[in-house]
Amino acid sequence: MENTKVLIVDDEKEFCETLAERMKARGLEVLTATSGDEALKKLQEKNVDTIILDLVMPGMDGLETLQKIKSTMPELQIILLTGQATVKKGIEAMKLGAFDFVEKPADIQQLLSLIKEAKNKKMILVEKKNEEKIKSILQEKGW
Amino acid sequence: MDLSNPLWDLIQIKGQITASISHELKNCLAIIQEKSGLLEDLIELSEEDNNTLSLEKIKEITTSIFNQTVRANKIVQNLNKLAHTPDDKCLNIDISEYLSLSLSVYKRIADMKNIELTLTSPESFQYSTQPFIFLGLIISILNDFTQQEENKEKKLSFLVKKNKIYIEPQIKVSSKSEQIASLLNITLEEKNNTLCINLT
Repeated sequence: MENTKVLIVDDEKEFCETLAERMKARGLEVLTATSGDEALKKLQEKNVDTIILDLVMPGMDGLETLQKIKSTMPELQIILLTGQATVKKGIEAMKLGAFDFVEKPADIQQLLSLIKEAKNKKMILVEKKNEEKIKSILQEKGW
Repeated sequence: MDLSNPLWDLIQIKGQITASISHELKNCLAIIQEKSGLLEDLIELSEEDNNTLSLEKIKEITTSIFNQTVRANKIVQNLNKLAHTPDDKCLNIDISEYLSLSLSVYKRIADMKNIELTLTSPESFQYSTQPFIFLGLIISILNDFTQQEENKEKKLSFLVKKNKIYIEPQIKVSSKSEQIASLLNITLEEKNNTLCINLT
């Protein structure tokens, strides 16, 4: 799990910080944010592999934050975390491009394995994007 | 199925509040789980490295767990009070106490919209009513306020004065709230930037 960068977004500061501390102890690089706005700001400054995002937050909620992130960084994988896991919300989140939907309180091992899968998916998407870019340059230049 | 009866609105309100309460409880449990997990991590690390655990860190974690149990206990107490509101057809209640309960169970929903709720009750006022429907009326009015998109006010204050509850700023009351109020023979009056609930 080394070299894996995660952003945890949750309005419960204590939850955010404790989960971050446990993940750091497992070799992950972790950033935290307590609102959707703060998360968007942090993403402008730093690259991450995966985001763990709370669904219900004051102001910009999880689904709105998910939509905003996906519109600018489609390859970034987002795991939604919530205390209010209804099937309806889960379907909505998956339709908007969430990688997975986990109910609170979540098991750290489950989160870590999802982070690993999400990072792999992101890498595949980035590689694919780069291949397509190279292909289009080659076609453009007629090489 | 006829769902136009105001009792259906009250059932929906109860669902809305219990969902919000369960969400808040899950947040407490999630913090307790992470804190106890952190304690486990620290024990494992100290065993591996043969190091002693920092007592200060342990104290910090146990204090946090204790605070979360206090928080969860308050939430469950409110849930219990809410669950017992349909017990009596008519009960002599302290209006301020039930307003305070209504605002407490609604706090998380208001927080999500960055709305601050305040209650001022300089005097106690006893009123005979059906507590479940009364609580539903207050929540329905709170929903009317939070659902008004154009609402720029982020503060909503309640004042109890004799047999009247004054709510500022004025709220555009929905037909749902009016119907619930009529079940209790309570009238709602909108004037001078205030909504007045007349407990007659």
